[in-house]
Amino acid sequence: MIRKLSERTNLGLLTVTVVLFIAMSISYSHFFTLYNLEVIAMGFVQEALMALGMTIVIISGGIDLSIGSVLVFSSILVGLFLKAKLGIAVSIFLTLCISGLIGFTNAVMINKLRAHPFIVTLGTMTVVRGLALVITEGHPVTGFPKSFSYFGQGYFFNIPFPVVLFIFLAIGFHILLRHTKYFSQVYFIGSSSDAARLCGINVERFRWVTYVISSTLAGTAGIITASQYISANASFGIDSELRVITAVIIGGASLSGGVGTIGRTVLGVIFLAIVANAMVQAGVPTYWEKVAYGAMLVFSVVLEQYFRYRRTGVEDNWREFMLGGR
Amino acid sequence: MTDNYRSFQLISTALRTREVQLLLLTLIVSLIISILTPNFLTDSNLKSVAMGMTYDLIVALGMTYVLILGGLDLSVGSNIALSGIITTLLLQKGIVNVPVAIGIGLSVSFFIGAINGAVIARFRINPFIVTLGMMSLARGAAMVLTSGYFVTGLPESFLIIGRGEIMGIPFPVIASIIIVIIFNFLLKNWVHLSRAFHVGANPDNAELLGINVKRTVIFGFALCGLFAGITAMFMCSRLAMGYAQFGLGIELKALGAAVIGGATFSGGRGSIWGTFLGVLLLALINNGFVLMDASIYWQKVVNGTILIIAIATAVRHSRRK
Repeated sequence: MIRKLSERTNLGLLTVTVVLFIAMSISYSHFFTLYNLEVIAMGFVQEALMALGMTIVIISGGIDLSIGSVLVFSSILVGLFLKAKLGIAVSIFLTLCISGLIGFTNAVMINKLRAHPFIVTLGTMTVVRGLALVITEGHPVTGFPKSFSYFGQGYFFNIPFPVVLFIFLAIGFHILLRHTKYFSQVYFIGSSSDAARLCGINVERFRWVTYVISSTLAGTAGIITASQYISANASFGIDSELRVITAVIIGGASLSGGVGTIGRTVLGVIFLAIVANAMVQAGVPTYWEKVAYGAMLVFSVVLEQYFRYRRTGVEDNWREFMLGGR
Repeated sequence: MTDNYRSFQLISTALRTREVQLLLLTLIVSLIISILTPNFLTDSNLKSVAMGMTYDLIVALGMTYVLILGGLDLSVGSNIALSGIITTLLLQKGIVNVPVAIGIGLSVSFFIGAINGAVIARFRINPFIVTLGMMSLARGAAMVLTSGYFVTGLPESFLIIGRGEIMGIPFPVIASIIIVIIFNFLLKNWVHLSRAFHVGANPDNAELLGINVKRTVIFGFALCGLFAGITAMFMCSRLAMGYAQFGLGIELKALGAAVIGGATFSGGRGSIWGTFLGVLLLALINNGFVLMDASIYWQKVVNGTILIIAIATAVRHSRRK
């Protein structure tokens, strides 16, 4: 049974999460309360949404560093559209389209330039955040209509709306990756894009799809953030790409592609959300957060690599992880 | 006739090398800026351009070396912040004297780079992800150490490093030029450095040839860290403080400059003088924006766009070959 379970989920992480949760509940009386559970969920829901898209991108062998910038850009855009009295539905639609377009641009550049996705999205990350600063000149965007606040603050059967949206999308993407023919190609493409290309899969077009999904989800997270704070600020979403990537990798996806599931990512997201809340509860200064995320990212990659070495007994060639020799 | 032909051939080969193209481009850009703005060719402006590019230049040298190795280092900016803060904290508390404090700061930066290299080479992990983690880790450590405050009250003998001048030229500018010349010479002639070209071009092959790839990678990243540390010393001394936000975004400028200068992400290629010209070009463009009163917020957009354009041209260049 354990073997069957470990095929389904990341057992080690599940144990650590449960132990951490129980330990926190025992040592802090207000940890396991409905209110705090809501705080935990709402504190990480943007990252959780983006992690879904990042999972698909990472499984397909890519990476998207621009999501934090897309988040801030879309939160500002939706504010400007709403200010221009375009109506809530139209504003949200336009914002999502523009976010998707950024993802599309990423994919086109990766395809055409044959450059590493890391570098291309690093470039768009800077450009998009710069544009956000240029548009707002560093001032916050305010003056949203009252009804807009539902997306970030509203409740759907006593559960916060963003959390409902996340659960809904997570189930949707899980079904897409598991049970549809087109999306399950992602594992094949991720393990070997050359072999996939030889089999007649249009890898370039698949890349458009993955990056557009990732960017649109970042745009959604941006709209939720704007609605949560009833303002948009160019400093939103700093470092959120780091937290998202950490969640996905801790969940058990592999940066070399081909490995990972939505379920594992959800577990990674829950773990990081609990850790973030635990640090606040324990009164750790906020500056430690940056140290913790960096350390967890490197540590999780090292662990993943170590276990793979233990399992297979084969060390990667230099060419497989260094960028050289291509 | 043959003389004419030969000189024509000489010119056309020269025009095809990256450095010459860059030099011409730099001249054109500076010509445009000096026509558009009256304040470009003044002593104080040129000095500020030179000072501004010094930091980027030293960092870009290390970045070029890592790129030649087939890696990349995103943590240089955080490395600057952390090593600078450790040095300035030691000096502020008066625990050690100036040379020892600088030595400790430089060793810290070297050590951070070495950790990067060791994790990459030992556990065989993509340098991107390791240095991204280190970027967050080191910046966080710098913030934890200072709680976000400036570290001030540094001794006068430390400040002289960044503020002293010889014949009106600031120390850091002179030092960076000397470092460029020495590093360029060593990269070409000292086998321990020049083997990076083999490793970057084909690491598995290099290992078969008997090169210790692991050690080369670790040393290369440590060297890149050390260059960041040198930058940190000049920066802290010039601005008379240590601050956890120093060097924010410098990795992008260094990457852009190195790639403009002819380094590629696929390793094995890169030139020191190309990087020098790349840094100069970036500094001139940024200076032009400042002189033309463009919003400082455009800088981020410009730097990102330049990085993407640089990749695009690098790819075209390698395809033609």
